[in-house]
Amino acid sequence: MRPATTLDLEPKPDPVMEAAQREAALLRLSHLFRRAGTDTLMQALRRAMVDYRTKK
Amino acid sequence: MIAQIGKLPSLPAVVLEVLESFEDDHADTGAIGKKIAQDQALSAKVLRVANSSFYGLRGKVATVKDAMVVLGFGNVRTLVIGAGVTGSFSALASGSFDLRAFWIHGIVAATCARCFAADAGIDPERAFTAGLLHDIGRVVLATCFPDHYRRVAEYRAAHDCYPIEAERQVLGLDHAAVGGALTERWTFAPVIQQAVAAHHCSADPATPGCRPGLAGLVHVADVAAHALDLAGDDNELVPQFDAVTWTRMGITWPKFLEHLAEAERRAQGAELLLSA
Repeated sequence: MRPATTLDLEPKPDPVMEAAQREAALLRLSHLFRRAGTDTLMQALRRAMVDYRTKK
Repeated sequence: MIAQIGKLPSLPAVVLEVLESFEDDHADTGAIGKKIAQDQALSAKVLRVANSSFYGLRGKVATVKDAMVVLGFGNVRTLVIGAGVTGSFSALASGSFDLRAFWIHGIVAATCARCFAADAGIDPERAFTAGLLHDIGRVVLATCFPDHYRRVAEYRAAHDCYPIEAERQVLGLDHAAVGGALTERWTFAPVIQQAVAAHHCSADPATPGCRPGLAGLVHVADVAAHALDLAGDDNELVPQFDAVTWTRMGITWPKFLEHLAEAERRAQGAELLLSA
């Protein structure tokens, strides 16, 4: 059996956890922008923040 | 209510002198350090933070000048403003006003303002100061008119509206106007007074566009800070974003997000400065 390497010790991506975190981020952003309505700039800002939070 | 602003204590002279020094390109650390050292409370705060475990130099920083080297210009300025403002409102310590959330939002807005300033051709240090102080009117309302402020909070909770809408409905004025009056009383530069007074102009239908310059910059920084959502406020709400101001700022979305990332990085750990 080969010795453990650094790569073995790195946490592996958890798709379920990542999906849950993304969902939580989207829910929170909906709450933050709950008064945005159909305002074009507010919706553009909301989309930018979704991009920012989900791609970090 | 605005007339009662005149009865508020003045900001300690050393705070204004230190802030002016930071904006002076020719000022040196030694001169600023001497000014701070003249104020016992400020000196103690600066030394306490520099000797905190965060900087790993516990007990080794003995002078204000050395503390400024450890903390850096920007952090010392934040400390000076925070200590000066907090010290002027003694009721803050006993009230229910969430001072921590207030300062976190201020720091985030200040770092956003500094990041955006270069793109807008505005002095970044002045932008930082204006960003840090933009909501100072809320401190005045919460500590000097607590009963009124409680009614504003109740109205806001009942209608889930923007805080500024609740203020105008209940009080007939808002924290931006109060903040502008206070910064005038404290003899801040007129451009900072205007920035504090006008940072929510987009919410006023009578003034559809912010004036360009520092006021518009602070407006954008305030919106960005609310969108970053770092103050831990369950009722956080991103304020209305003025389209004319956004266009005048000339910032693209990718650049905006780059600045947000930098502001978020810089704001982390800044809470230490204001809790020491």
